[in-house]
Amino acid sequence: MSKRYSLKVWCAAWMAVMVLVLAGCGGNKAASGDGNKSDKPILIGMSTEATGDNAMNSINLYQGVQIAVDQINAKGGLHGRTVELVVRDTEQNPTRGISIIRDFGQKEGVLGAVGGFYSTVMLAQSPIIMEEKFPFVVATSNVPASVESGMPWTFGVRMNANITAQYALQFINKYFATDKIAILHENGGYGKGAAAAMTKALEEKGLKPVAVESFDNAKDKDMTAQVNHAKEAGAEVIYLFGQGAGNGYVLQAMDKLGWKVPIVGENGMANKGVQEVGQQLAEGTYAIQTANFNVDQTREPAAAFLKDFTAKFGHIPTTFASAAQGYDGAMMLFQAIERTELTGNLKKDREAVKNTLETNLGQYSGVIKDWDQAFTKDNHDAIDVHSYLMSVWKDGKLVVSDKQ
Amino acid sequence: MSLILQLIISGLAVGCLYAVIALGYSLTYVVNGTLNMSQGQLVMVGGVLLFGFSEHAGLPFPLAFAASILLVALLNLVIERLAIRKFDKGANSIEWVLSTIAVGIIIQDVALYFNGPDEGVVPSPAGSGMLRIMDAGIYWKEFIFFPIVGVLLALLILFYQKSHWGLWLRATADNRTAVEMMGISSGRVVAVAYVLSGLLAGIGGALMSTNYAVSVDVGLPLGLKAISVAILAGVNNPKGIVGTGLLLGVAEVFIGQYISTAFREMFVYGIVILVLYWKPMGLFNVRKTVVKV
Amino acid sequence: MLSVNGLSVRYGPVEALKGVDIEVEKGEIVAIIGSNGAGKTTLMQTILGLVKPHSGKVLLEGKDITAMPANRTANLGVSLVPEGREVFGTLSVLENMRMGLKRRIGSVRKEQFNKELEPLFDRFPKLYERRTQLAYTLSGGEQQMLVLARAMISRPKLLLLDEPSLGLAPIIVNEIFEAIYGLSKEGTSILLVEQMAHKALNLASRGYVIDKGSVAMHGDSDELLRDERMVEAYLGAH
Repeated sequence: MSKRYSLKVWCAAWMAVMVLVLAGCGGNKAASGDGNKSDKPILIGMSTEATGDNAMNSINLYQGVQIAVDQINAKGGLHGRTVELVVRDTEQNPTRGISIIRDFGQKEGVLGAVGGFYSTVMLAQSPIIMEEKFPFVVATSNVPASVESGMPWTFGVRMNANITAQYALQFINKYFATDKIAILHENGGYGKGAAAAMTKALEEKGLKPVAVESFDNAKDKDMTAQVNHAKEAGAEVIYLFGQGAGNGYVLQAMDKLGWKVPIVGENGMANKGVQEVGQQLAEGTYAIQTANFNVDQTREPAAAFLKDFTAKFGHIPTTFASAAQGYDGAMMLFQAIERTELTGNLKKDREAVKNTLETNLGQYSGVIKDWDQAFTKDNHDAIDVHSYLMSVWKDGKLVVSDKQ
Repeated sequence: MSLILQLIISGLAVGCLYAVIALGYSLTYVVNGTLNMSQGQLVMVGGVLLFGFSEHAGLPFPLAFAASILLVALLNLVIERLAIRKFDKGANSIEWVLSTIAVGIIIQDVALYFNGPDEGVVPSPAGSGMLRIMDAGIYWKEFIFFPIVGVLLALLILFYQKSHWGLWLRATADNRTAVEMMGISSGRVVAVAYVLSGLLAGIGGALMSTNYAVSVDVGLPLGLKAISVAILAGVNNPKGIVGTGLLLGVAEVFIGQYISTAFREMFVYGIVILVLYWKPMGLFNVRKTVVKV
Repeated sequence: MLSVNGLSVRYGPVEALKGVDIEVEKGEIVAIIGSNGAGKTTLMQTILGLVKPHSGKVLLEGKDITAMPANRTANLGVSLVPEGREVFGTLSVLENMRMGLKRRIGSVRKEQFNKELEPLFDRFPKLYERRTQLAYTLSGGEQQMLVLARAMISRPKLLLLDEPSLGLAPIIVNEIFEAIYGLSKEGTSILLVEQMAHKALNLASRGYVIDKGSVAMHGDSDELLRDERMVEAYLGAH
């Protein structure tokens, strides 16, 4: 045989082999039949803020989820498959957040996702989640619309601003005997959502907030104007919804004006920026949380969580509620996945997991509380008025308050 | 009455910060018509470095302060060499705008990588006590802004008037070719201007971080504010720049109190534009002189 | 003192200088004559180092300064009084004079500076009158005196003068030429570019005629003054 002839034969044979190999792979990918490949990990999207002025708080949510992932994988994963996080940074930018959801839905092919620390971004993401149709656990954003706009695909393990406002109002009535509330809030989704919720809660009693003032959490350092408006309006309590240092500047402005009234806030009041800037001014201010890791944990899952968290990250969470909610939210998602029969068809599996969450999640004992049935078809908010843990700043630490 | 006083005092304190940063812009603009658009990020680096040296490395405050401002001055020198020099080829070149904007972004990302997104406050050597002036309150650590800015301004003017480097700077601003003919390397003079500008930025950052939580993204908005101050003042009048910075700080606070807190920025910048319509060269710009000393 | 060998300068496609050779001895005054655009200013700028030649050499006291940047050449004792004068308009007369000290500015104290200013203010009393005024407020003639005085205070070894008489009244031109003469008597070598060829050649000991970038003629000034071609082309108006 001549050289050319044998070369042709080789090429043809090689091509035939390649075609067979590719056909084999392609065929497997497209199969809609049995797809329980125990070597393929279960992909869970993680939408977080790694950059931006809120990143240091947002990371708590992500860290809580990581602990859940570690614990599940240590037990052998879900359906024998490892759980793998696909982590993306929203950069606190709604447009970026939207493209991340699209990526989760299409390019990355996640089964479910967790995220939603930063309300401004989450609000943009929810409608897109509804379009992409995969279950998403909103683990911090307090704006009601964050979950409502994504129904039925979004599930809230978060302090719904409406529910929080009702809890706060009841707390303020009980312990401070007043309805003269000034709302000072940051001008993003978080602050605006809280302001709207408290205003609504007051309206239901036929009342109004005495003052509503906003500030830019990143840029504003001097809050004299806002605080002074509240003072002149006769406020007796401030419902404070900035984030960290921003709240600290409010405390400083109050100090300068020589005005001291009780302060009730939520996650924004829980993070250490308040203490760093406000120092002794933060003493006695309240932060509504769903967990508190500065004290001994009475709940066993909470103790185990805290132990694993400290071991992995070297310190306790800096924003308690987000860490706890990230963890419980992820665990609930994982529990739903475990209880769902996966077919390998991503579209069907996502639908099935969502249904499980709504109808068949079963009992879940978490860091925050025990749930018999966290979600129903109509209720996608796992946290209700009885899930709160009022915390107070004492001696530079956030501890559980005597007043609840 | 005490409210008005409180507003004025609070506004002046913030204005001092704007003034220090704006002075940094004027140094470089005067000498070769360039503005380092990453000046705000340099301020941030000053603050972040002070926090790092002071809280993480545990250095005593004076040492941490000196190290921070020197490093920022050095950084600005490098920026001049890499991002400005190549593009400063005549009166119309503006490539340095883009290159310094890019530098600012790079600085911010690098700072994020090393520092993380955390924000931190450095305990001020002035303590955390409050000074009361007729019922209006200002923290001592804010109050020291005033003498510091005053001293910096005086030093700058003395520098321009009395030292031969100041003369060289003014001469370079006036006529670069003639300066070369006088045996002076105008490139070196520009470098010195950038070092001084960097020192000012570092000082601004250090002042900031003893009062406010500094995170890596405070640089950009601050830089923009300070540029408005420099342009509004007319860039070539150091006293005018300080005056304008203080004015802007006070205006901001008053607008926030009496007009609107939500739309404050809109009103403030609206007024800036109106003032520029009226005095396009800036409020305090002195014509026929490169630096008013 | 100065030796220019085969100097060629191009601005893009245009050849401004083509193989120019010039010699200046210590203490000499040498004149450069030529019409506008002949390349005289380019020559001066290249000697100082503001312009880079593409071939040729410039030697100062035997040292090759061809590639040296202007500020270094200036510190070797070369001072240029350029065609555009180039005062520091927004600095005062006194400050302009201080700049003339070049690198000595850091080491010359106030009394020393005033001492050095005295003879210059004697020669140019107008400058003394206007000593605190900003230089841009001076008249053309006063500015010319200023840049000359500024060059003189730098104690140059080699003084390059580019059209110092341009646009000035005859009386002032005389003052300036007297100052130049005085300088050369003190040992400064001088290269003088002048439109007023007659005056320049009377002052100088030798001259070069530059035409379209090349040296067309050169020799002792007496010979050039008598030369027929010179009389026709350059010595028509004095």
